[in-house]
Amino acid sequence: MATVVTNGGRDVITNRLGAAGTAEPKNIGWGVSAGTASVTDTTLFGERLVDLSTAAGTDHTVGTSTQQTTTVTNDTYQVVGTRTATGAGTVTNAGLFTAASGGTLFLKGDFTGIGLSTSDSIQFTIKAVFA
Amino acid sequence: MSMEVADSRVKQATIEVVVLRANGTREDLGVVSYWHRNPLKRLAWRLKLWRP
Repeated sequence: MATVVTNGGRDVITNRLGAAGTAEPKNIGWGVSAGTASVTDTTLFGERLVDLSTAAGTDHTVGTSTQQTTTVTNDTYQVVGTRTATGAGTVTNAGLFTAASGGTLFLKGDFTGIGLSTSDSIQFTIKAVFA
Repeated sequence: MSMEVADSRVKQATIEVVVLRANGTREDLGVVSYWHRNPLKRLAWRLKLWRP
């Protein structure tokens, strides 16, 4: 069960520091397949739509991003968002993307499967701490 | 003269989860996925998961 800022995520960070136009990575996706997150990953494990039985395409949920303080002032990038399942399944990993559909995978984490029935939701709080 | 370059990697990354069931039940699962630059902290978090 690891959470990583991917190599693509590092590209996003440096690109945004240079104001080079990369969109903010505040879009939340989820997947249903097993695996351990790695910095070289560019996709989730078995990404699904909000209908967990559907694999076609992506429909990331736009989260709310804020700066938080973990160790020193504003050292943490946080995204909070809620995805509601319109079809049942077991969520095993999630991540942040730069777009509501497609986009670059910024951060990814895997975890013990969470079974959802139709109309169940997961509220994600995803944090990257820099200090 | 000396030069110091701070380590600029991400220090910690986490995913916290609250499951909201259709029947109104709320299940706060806390941190479900964790990484810390310090391997001892990663080990400590894994051991905590095994605690009964």
